[in-house]
Amino acid sequence: MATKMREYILEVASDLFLTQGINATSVDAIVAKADIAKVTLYKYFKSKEQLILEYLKDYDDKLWSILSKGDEHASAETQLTNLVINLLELIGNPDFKGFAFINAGVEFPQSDSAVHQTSREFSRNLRNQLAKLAAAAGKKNAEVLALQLQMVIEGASVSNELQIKAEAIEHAKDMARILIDSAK
Amino acid sequence: MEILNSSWLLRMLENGGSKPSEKLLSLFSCLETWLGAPGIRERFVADFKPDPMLNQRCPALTARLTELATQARISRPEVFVAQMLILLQGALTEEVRNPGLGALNAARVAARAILEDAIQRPALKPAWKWSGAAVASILIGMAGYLVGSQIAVETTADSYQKAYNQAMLESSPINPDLIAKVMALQAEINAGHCPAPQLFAMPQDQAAAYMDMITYRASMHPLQDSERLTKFLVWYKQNREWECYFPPSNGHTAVSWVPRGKQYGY
Repeated sequence: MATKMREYILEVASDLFLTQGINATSVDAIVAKADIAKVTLYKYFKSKEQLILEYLKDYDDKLWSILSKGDEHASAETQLTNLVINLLELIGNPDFKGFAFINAGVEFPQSDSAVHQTSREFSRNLRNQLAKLAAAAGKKNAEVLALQLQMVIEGASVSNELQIKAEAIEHAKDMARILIDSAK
Repeated sequence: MEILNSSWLLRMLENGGSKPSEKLLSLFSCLETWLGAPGIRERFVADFKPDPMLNQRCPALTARLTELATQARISRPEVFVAQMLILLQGALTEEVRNPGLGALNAARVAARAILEDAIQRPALKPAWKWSGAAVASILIGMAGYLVGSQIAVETTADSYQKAYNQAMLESSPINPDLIAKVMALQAEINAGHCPAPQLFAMPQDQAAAYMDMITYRASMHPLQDSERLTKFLVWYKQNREWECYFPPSNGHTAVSWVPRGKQYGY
């Protein structure tokens, strides 16, 4: 029961964070939406900040489980392409509301805040994974390629309008293929 | 991000190189220079928010980039510009997160790779393996394609110019009513109904403001220019407007409209 309640609160909060933004979502709004007492929320989460951190961690777990699907025995270059294309397709999904960690990083620009730190950690993980695959695929400037791919992904992920986003995703996929292909 | 719509950035692009492709790619280094100026980066980071796509928000910049991409003979200019702006968006996000680690530079390198790919696209290589008639027919085909694409390029360039002009007017900081008045007067001058103003006869600053407006150049001093344009309109009314001649809208003129024919009884 305890874990269930915790998950439920996290789910409601995640939904609000994603759709309204983190700063714009008050604890009161979460409590109202979840139809629980404020005390209950604070029983499971010490503070709003802890709730945010849990939300980001949860988001990260889900994200990686989606991205790592695909052929594990394929060549590193194929895996790299798959990772990027999977990610872009995820972004292209009409339900996608922006990367939690990008939004959070922007909403908490002070570099000493825990949320900002966590947000940076997520993007670092993504970058590291991209760089690892790029290096395994024999790319000399693996770091630069990883940075470029990440910029392509993030750049395509900001649009809200479906039609425009669908186009942007297609453009981004083409770009990713060209970049992976042309990198030495 | 008003920098992306500023005429400063458009001017910097012009100085970015001699070839259109160099001008295109200089967008990234221009912004890097801009971010390097004192105090700019802090304000940029503080104001940054992940807004909708750049090509929706920066009509003037998008139009100019598309124009350059067309001149650079890129096969699908709009697609390339969209891709470039996606890269720019990503680079700016990265720049907020990890300031000064060369995100814009990496984006420029990526844009160059995309650009080279887009220019090479019409793959002609396999054609060389074929012989005789096949090669000849391909050459004829290519010639046709080149002529056709040239025409296509020119018509699209025209429509981009129009879109660009429109965007410049719309993003101008000068009062839209005033712009509308000046442009309406200019339309009458172009149609030959009113005499062109004698630029030497009017105060120089007014002439400059007026020329900027009708050639769609962005005003650098909107407040002063609005005043000058207002004065210019008054000057025109007092000195030149009496020469205007508006032909009757029904096409009849006092000279040629002489009722003829038996039905009038002459």
